[in-house]
Amino acid sequence: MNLVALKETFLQETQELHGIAEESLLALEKNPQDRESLNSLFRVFHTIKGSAGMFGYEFLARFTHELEDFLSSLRDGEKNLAKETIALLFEAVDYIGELLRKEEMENPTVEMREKGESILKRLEKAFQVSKEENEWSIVIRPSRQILSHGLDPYSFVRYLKKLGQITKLKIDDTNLPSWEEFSPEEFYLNFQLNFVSAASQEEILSVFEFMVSEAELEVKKANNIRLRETGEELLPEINEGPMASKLTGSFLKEKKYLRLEAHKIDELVNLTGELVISAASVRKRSLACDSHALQEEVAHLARLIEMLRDNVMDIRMVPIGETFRRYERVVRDLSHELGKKIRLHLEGSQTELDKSLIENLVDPLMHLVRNAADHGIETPEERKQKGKEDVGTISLIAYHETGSVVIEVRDDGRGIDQEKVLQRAIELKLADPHRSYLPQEIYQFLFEPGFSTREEVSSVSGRGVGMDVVRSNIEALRGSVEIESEKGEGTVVRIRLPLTLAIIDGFLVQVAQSYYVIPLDMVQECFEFRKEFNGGGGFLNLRGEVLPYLHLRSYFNNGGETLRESVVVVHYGRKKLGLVVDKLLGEIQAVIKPLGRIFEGLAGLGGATILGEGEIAFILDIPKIIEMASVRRDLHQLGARL
Amino acid sequence: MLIEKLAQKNGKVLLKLTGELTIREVKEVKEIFNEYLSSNEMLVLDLSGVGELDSCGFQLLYALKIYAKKKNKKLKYVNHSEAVLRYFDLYGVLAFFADKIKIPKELRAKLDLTYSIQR
Repeated sequence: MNLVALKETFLQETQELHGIAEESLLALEKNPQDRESLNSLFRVFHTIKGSAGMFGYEFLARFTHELEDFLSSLRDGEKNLAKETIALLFEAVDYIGELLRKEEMENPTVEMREKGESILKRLEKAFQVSKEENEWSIVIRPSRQILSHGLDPYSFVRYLKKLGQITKLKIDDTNLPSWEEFSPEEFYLNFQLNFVSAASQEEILSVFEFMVSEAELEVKKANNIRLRETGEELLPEINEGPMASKLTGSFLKEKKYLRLEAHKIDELVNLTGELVISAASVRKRSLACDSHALQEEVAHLARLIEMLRDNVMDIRMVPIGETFRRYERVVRDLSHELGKKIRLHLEGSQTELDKSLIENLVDPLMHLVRNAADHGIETPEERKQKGKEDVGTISLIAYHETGSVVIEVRDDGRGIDQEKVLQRAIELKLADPHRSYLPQEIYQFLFEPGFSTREEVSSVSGRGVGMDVVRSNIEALRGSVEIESEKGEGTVVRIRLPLTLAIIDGFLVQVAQSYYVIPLDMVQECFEFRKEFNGGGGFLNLRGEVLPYLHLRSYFNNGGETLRESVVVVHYGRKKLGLVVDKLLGEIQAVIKPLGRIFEGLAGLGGATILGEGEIAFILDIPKIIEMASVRRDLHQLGARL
Repeated sequence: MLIEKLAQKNGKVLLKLTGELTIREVKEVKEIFNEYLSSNEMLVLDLSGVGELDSCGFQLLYALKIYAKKKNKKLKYVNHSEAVLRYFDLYGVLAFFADKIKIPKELRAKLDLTYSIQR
């Protein structure tokens, strides 16, 4: 592996460690006595220090070294972290993140360095307070030539103040000759100090390290006679013990990971997709052959390929928990910023999603969480008045539902004021003032660009990047967003996403000469289309239930006519629709290929796939079609009324 | 280091020290001080112009005080510069010298002013 690749690995690894550090800090904030988290934080700093040093990122190495030092003083003792110190550590961890992001590691700018120093300085102070302090008695007897040798005791004493507090300093002038006799270029004064500090004897002595040849030193505990003369080596006890042994056990010892470049997996997925297509084609041809053995082998092969496909897809699946946990930090910061009390509740962290999906979810979720904190959750006073618990809850919930993954962002805040939203929609000429709207329709206005009912813009949300961006992000993932809200009770934003982006199990249908694939998990049932089902106005009567339907033939202008038609009932979320097609061709596995730009404007198609014999089938974008169908129906009804 | 005699009247001599007072200057400065030590007049040193100080410079000011006390010679330091105040504060002699010391507001934050102001 070359150096560039190694550095890339280092960056990734460090970013991961950065995440662990954040988690540990959050745990410590909840429970300052959590030794395990303290240790893991310590190990993170230690590891970053080590590898940063290896790559010559000296500034980062030094920064983490100091952090490690601070923490090590804590690990051996019984003392716990103070709240303020944890806040500072958060700042330090953020700073490390910044160093990584800015790729400033090799040569940080002056501002970055200063920022780092300032954090260290404040941490130093915080840690001094939290440690146990001793009173030390220090005697400094500089040599007569100390100043002519270029050293000034003043700077050492001043530096000593960084370690603690001088409570008394007495100048001992017994060696000072009379005025007439003393030679002003020599130095005769000695100093006796009382010094209160949490530092160890070694640390105090190390302050005077450069002065050792020019001064006699005594450092002892005020009530404990222990003498250390000059010349004697400042024996540093190398504190290696606990660290060295603990580091061998890794952080991630429960799980073993292999780090891979994402594009390698993408390639694998792609190839597997091709394999699936070609296997289907082989299978079809084998059926035409009159060899039973061949057919059996091919069937076996197909099964293996199917398993392979599942496994490959599984590689890309990542539990969403890690992503969820990021928001703990966000919520914590938000509640400080907004002066609200908010807790984050996570559910379904084990739910697995395609990695690329998760990556694209981070921003929309961030937006929704911020929205919930800013607009949803009330201030503690307001909540108490309403008889709610003063701590508001934001929940992130993930679960599987009929072939899709659902992610909910819930809050138990004030809910959405429908009237206000409608009013604003009318102001923006989005809504018709003379029409009455269903709640769901009203919430849809929230997704319009530039829609905000908030008069003032806070630093948290309401800066115009709104729900419309969330929706377009989610739709780009072939997902959908819906809102439910109860005034005074809270809001749920529900995101529905396909399980994966690359391969789907589909149901193949034919209309005229065109093939269409319907994602299998959205298919509820199929039956023959008979005229007597037609309830009029675009509705079918399905066992007494009213079912809207759509003729794919007319929808896609396929033309032609056929005597026998079938209905495929599809459902998405809580909506159902009957699709009228010519022929039902059965299940297939479809590798989704994106459509070219020419088809961009074509609503209702989510992509294409190649069938075993080389024909092209279009994959239907069912959510979109359901939506379009309801719009059409509205128009239809409107037309009928006029 | 420039030493100017600003005034000499009513039994007082006012000297103003300007410049650095470090190991490089102390020998010379000590000799200049000597010129004023034999008389009975009160010696007032204006330290407002002292730019840089080191421990030798400090020692000179310290020794002079000790000497004056021993000889019952009246000696006052006035208008301490920032550099002088920093040394006096760290070495804990702000109160020890028994001079009236005015510490400008903006300097207070920079100094410790703990043990150095206790007698």
